[in-house]
Formats: sequence, structure tokens, C-alpha cells
Amino acid sequence: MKKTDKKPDSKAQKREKGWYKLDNAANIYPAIVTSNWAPNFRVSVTLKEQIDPDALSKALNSCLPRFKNFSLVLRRGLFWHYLEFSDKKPSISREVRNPMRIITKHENHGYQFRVTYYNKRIALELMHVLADGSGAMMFLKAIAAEYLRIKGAAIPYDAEGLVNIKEPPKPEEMEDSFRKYAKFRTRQPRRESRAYWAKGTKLAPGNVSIVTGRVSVKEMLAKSKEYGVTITEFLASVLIWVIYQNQKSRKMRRELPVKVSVPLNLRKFYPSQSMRNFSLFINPGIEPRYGDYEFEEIVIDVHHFMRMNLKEKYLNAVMSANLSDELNPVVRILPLILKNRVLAAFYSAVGETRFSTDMSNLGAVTLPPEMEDYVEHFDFMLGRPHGIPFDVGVISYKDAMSISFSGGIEERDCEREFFRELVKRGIHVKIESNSRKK
Amino acid sequence: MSYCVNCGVELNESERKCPLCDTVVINPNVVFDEKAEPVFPNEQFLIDLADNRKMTALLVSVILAIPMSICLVVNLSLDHAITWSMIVAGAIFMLWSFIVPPLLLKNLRLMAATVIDTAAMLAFLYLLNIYLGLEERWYLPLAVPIVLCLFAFFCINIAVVRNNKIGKLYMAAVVFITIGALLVAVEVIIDMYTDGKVELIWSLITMIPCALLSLLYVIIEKKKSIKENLRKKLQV
Repeated sequence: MKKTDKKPDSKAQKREKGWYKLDNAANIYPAIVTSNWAPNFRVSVTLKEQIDPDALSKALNSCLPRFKNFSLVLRRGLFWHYLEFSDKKPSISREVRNPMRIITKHENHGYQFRVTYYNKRIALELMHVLADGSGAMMFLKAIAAEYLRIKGAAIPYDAEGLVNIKEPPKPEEMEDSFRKYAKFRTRQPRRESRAYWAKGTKLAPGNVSIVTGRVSVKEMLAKSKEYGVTITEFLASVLIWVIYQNQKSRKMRRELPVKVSVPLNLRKFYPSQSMRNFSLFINPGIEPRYGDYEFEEIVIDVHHFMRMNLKEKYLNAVMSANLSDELNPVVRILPLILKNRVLAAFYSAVGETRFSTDMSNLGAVTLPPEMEDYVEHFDFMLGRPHGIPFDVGVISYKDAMSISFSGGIEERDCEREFFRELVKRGIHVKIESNSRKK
Repeated sequence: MSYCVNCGVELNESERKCPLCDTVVINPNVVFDEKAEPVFPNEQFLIDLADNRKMTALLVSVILAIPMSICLVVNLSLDHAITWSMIVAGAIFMLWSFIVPPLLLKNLRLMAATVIDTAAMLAFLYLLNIYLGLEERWYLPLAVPIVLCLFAFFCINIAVVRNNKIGKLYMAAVVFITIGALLVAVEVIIDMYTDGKVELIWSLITMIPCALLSLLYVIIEKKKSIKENLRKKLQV
């Protein structure tokens, strides 16, 4: 009997492909997962034709081996969670009205992502332990491109803006860039005050209230330029303004700061090719206890705050502070079961309480010219938040910008006021939602 | 193409109401297309929440059943009858009814849970009475009134604490006065059971400070100037 005739041993392959430590940003996420909530988010692409599930399944199976950070299953160690390579074939499913719900370990062979389809849309939902928005978008674009190739489109494998799925995975794509680039020159202290949260009736667990506003990038850019700021700064200012008004309407005895957490892609500052997490947050906002604010004042404050903090030196100090917590010997030797409790308590106390909402702008998606004609638009949604009432995902493709609110409460007061503010300022908004069709 | 008259936003063809303000879309020029595909499918994935609670209830039941069954078996094999193990079983059953019904019945209200707990306590005491001999007449004159007093104490306090309209100091006043009243009632019941004569001694020692504290809270709540002054002086 010749052993060489046998199929490659999957156990040997697993050993070869190995396991990975969670990156610094991902470490907190498994600790805060509950039986009905996980820190998931999704990116989706809407094509111009109905999706064929068989072709999508084939496309996913062809792409997954190239994306090592997605071929991983989350496991529990004695001291830390870790990610282990898996070679099982992932499945796809039809989308439902409450996307981004927890991905159970039995759902997709333990993979922490799910690919869904509905009408003309392909969506990739994933837990934050695997990747951040940029990493997820690379995977989605590769799946969409391969799907279109199967359906007959001539998209070159080495096209610019796409990951070449014919190439083997590169080791640098799996690096923990936080560890690579943190300099530990100094550690930024984390003293920040508690921020205001809009109140409302909590939705049933597993549900999410989605409202997407579609606007024109040109109109948005023109409006932002009018104020002399970037689109992210303008949108963050409008958000702060509406949440500030929401707090005012509640006539609280002691007003709290209104802050929006804005994730920053660190790949802009470092030559990282990592497809895993490599982003940090900064929280621009206002302190209403100083006095009343005008919208224009908020825009200026946000603009200057962003300019002041968008520096490699500052971000490196924040990164170093985060990493030194992970490297702390006391934290390291704490058994996972205790560590999870400590991290969850830490997250509840100082995590989300420091901002009123979270607004992540993934920026403009670029596609190779051969693919552009097949794509309508992209969407980016953050999952139902842990504690804050809602969070916001922004993405643009050509002139189509999508601003998606994902809420954990029934009331859509802030969403309504946000889009009304845009309309008031002359921006045309088209609204979509996941409300039940009555 | 329809717009919301309130928000000024364009609405997707599948939206019959504005998702932002719930205003119904009325567009005389465009008839609502019933067949328009919604942006998200209508099917929803439901997460079963009862699992964890059911599992915990099962686990608690199994853990409690172990000492209960061991005692019953030992008692049966040594004495060939169920004697003392009845008390152990009764106590464990009482503990079970404190823990498990709130886990299994998702919407069990606190008041209903109190009723179940009181019933379990009365049943256990009755069992104890049977074991010790029914000729010892302590169940009806002593045990039942004390348990009912406790029940009343919890009912009043739950009702008061759950009422949002009552000020916090009034709440505290009710809690203290009911503690005092409960202890007085217990002493009265014990006195009546032992010698038929009521002589309040130890319960008064607790009743007096409780009553004074209650009175103090009521006065502070009523007199805004005192309340404000205290807030000023005791600010942390």
C-alpha cells in the first residue's frame, strides 16, 4: 500500500497551517460575547442581477484558502482564546431580517463568519476577532469578483484593488501589526469621562433595527468642503449635534459629554499588509457643561480634535498602552475563565461608556474597471451594539454613499433627526430599513 | 418615488411608512406596489433564550436531588421507613421552589414568586409538625401567623419599592416602619403562644428606632428646606 496515493492528511495540514494568537484588538471580543450577542459587523455588495446561490458557494470555496485569517475557528485555551486553522467547507445561507446575530459554533463549522445572499446582494457577516472593516472588505471583494467570473465576467485575477486568489497567502497578511509597530516610548493614559447614551426600549435579543440612508458622495463632499472639514468629520459633527439635541430634550439635571467613537485605519500610518485588526478609536465630542453649543462650533471642535489626534506619535502611544495591558504578567497568568470576567467587567465599566455612539467610515471602495459595471453599491453595517443605543457604518462606492444605523432600541429618534439634518442642509437622502413590511 | 412629508427623505419603494417617523406614505401619483421586494427579507431568525435558564434549572434540580435521594435511601435502609429524611427532603424541596420556578417561568412576577415561596415554607413547616407529632400544637398558632406576617412584610415592601411615584425617602420610611411592625407582630404571636399574655420587650427596642427613623424620613421628604440643607451639607 502506497501512502503517497492517499489524499493529503487534513490533520497534518492543520498542524502545518497552525494556530494564531488573537491580535491585541481582538482579545476583548470573545470575553464580551454572551449567549445571544457577539461583536459582529457586515459588509455587503449589491450587484445588478439576482444572486445564484450555487455560484456564490463555489466562489466562497475558491476564495477561502487564500484568506488565511478567515479559515480560522475560535478556540479556548487555558489562558487565552486562540484561532485554529480549519479546512472544512463553509456554507452559505439566505439572508434574514435580523442580520449580524451571533454565529454559533455549530452554524458554519465553527467559522466566525457567514456569507448570505438576498435578491442581488451578497453579504459577509463576521465577528471582529477575525478582521476589521478593511480586511473584511478585501474578502468580500474577492468573493464578489470570483462569483462574477463564474457567471462569465472577464475579471483578471491580478487586477488592481483585488487580492489575487491564485497566489498563496502571504505571511505578512497574518501578522499582528499592533505588536509589530507599537514602540512603547510612552503609554497614553485612558482617562475619559462617561458619555451620554440616548435612551429607548430595548429590542428583543438577536434583533437589530437597521436604517440605511443613501446619499450622493458629491453632495456630501461639497457640504463638508463648505465647512472646511472631511466627510467623516462632518458626519461625526451631525451625529454629535443630534445626540446633543436628544440629551437637551430630556432636560437632565446634569448633562453628560456627547462623544462619537471614530475608528481609524492604522494602515494609513504604517506599511502594514495585515488583513486582521489594525485600527484604533478616537472619541471626538463636546462637553455640554461648558455651555450651549451651535452646530458650526461642533464642526470646528471635531475638526481640530481629529487633526490633533491623527498623529502617528499619539496613536502609537495609545497602541502601546493597549498592548502593555495584554503583556502584563498578571493579566497573562490569569486563567481564561477569570480573565473573561475581568475583561467583561472592564469593558462594561470603561469600554462603551466613554462614547455616545460609534461611527465607522470605511471610505471609498475601489474596484478594477472590469468589475465596475456589475456592481450597484456597497453597504457597511456594524452589528447591534452591546450597550450604546446604536452605531453607524459609512461606506462609499463611486457616487453612492451608504450611511447605516444599527440600533438595539425600538425608537429611531436619533436616526430620524440625523437624516432630517442632512435634508435640511440640502443633501438628498433615500431611506431603506429592515422594518417588517405591513 | 415617494418622499416622507415629515422628514423630507426619499423612501424605498417597499416602504409603506417612513421608517424614521412612521408617517404613512400617501402619494396620489404612485400606487403602492404590494409586490415590491423589501430591502430585507421578512423571515427572522429567532434566538432561543430559554435554553440557558432551562439548563440552569435542570442543573439545580439534579444537584439538589443528590443529597435528597441519598438521605432517603440511607433512612430507608437503616430504619425501613421514611422518618428523618422526610425533613431533609422537605427542606430541599423548599429550597428548590425558591430557585427553580423563577428560572422556568420567564415572566414570573416578584409578588407571585413570594406567594410560591410562602406556600413552600408553610408546607415544609407542616411537614416538620407531622414529624415532631401533631399533638405539639405549634403549627397553627405560631408558625402560620409568623410566615403570614413575613409574607405581608414582603408584599408591602415590593409594592412600595416598585411604585415609581413614591419618593425614595418615603420608601425608606415604609421599609423601616414595616421592619419594626414585623418584629412587634412576631413578639405578639410568640407571647400569645407561650402564655397568652402580650408583654412587648425586645421588639420595642427595635421598633422605637425604626419608627423614629421613618418619622425622620417623612419629615425630611415633606420639608423641602431641610432636604435641600441636608443635600448641601452631606454632598459627597
